[in-house]
Amino acid sequence: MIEKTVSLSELESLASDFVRTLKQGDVVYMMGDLGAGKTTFVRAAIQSLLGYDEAVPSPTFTLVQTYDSTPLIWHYDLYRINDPEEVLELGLDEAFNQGITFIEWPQNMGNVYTPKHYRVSLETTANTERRSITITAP
Amino acid sequence: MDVKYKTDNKTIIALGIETSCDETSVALINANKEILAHRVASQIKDHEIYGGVVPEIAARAHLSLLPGLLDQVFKDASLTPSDVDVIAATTGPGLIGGVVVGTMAAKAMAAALGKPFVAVNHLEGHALTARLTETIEFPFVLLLVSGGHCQTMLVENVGTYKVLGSTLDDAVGECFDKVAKMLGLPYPGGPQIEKLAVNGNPKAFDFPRPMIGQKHLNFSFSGLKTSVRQAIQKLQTEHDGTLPESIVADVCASFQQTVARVLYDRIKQAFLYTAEHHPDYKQFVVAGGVAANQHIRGALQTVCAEIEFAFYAPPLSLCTDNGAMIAWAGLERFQKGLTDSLDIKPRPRWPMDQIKGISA
Repeated sequence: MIEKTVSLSELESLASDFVRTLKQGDVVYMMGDLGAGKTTFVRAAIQSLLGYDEAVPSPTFTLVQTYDSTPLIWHYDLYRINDPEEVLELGLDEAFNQGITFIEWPQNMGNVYTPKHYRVSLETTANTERRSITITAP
Repeated sequence: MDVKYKTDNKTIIALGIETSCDETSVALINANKEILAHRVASQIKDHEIYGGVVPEIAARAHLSLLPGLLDQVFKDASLTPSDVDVIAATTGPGLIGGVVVGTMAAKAMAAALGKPFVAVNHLEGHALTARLTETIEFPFVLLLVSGGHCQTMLVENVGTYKVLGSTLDDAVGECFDKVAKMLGLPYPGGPQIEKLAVNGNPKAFDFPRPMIGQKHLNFSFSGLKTSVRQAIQKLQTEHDGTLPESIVADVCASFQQTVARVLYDRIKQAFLYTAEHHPDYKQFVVAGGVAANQHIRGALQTVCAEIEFAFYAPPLSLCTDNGAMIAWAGLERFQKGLTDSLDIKPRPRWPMDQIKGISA
């Protein structure tokens, strides 16, 4: 388990190091409020694995974005999911089998899927440039 | 000669199917730019196609919604499937489950009816919509601003697009919705913020203006969102949790003003770049739901007037995801001979610069 307070650039290097310890089939739940840095963390992880600064837009509206890294990355954002059953349409089975899956707002899928997962929790701090981060393994 | 005789006497009719995200939508249009029928599932107030059994239409239930919508548009237009000349569907980018449903339906119809099939890129649908409702020739600069997209591009011709800049993080509409949520306003947040901003002071808060003045053409709104959240949290602490209406109005006005300023600046940079490298571009089209915001529209009209670009905006009903834009893009591609084989696969990721153009 990792627990510390970091600057935004340290958050990115932490994400970059963290993703390199993952393998195909791993699932990461991204916890934290709006603006806590969830997408920032996942973006840094994706760019690190790809090896270049691919555009990683927020998947809030598209619900999922996939990246051709090795292994593949599936980046989900379930913020707009109103009913857990809706996630059955989103190809999560395939994602869990084929790649590394990052899920923002995983609480919105209820018990429809309950994979073993890492948990990255982010919180803002009094200093607007720093975030507290906790990472727990499955 | 026989073929030419037929095209002269019959206006080409296109069927378009859109299933790439939340909306299931089907439309029939013709080459005279007439929308013969157009249905968007989430906007159907009555339950005519379900016999009253579905109390609430679920988002993204494309498979169960599509057959009823198809029947309905043919009924609305008093046409039969054999009257259609070309069948188009969004084959990406989007949710794989959705695009598979639309693509399979379109291919099955094309095969059964012996009609050409066109695989349409969803973003190309947005890019060409203005030509359905306005008399606008190529080329033009496009800004697509919606819940899921924020990008500028050069629209040179059917199938020929060059992306100038994109958001590196959040889309503008998403930013509006999330700020609205932080303020406890109902969904969708964009119209709520615009309404409340009327009574607010746009200078009350000094939010950061991401990327303003920078030469590159990209966008970023995540930092603004976070900054607004921090301001709201601070205000809530100061006011024991509940913000007075006047402060909510001030936050809305200041946030909206900041977004308008940023878009003004980003489009100005895009115009200056375009004027230098592509001086034949003199027209600007804004598409996407955010174009409904009058304050933002005003900022875009201002920059158009300053840099001497003609301003166009398709009607709002065609700015959100819809089948008519897919039918239109399909028809434009068909008229240029850009049809697709039935073995084409849906593409969840499909950048606009990978679209097949006339020369390809």
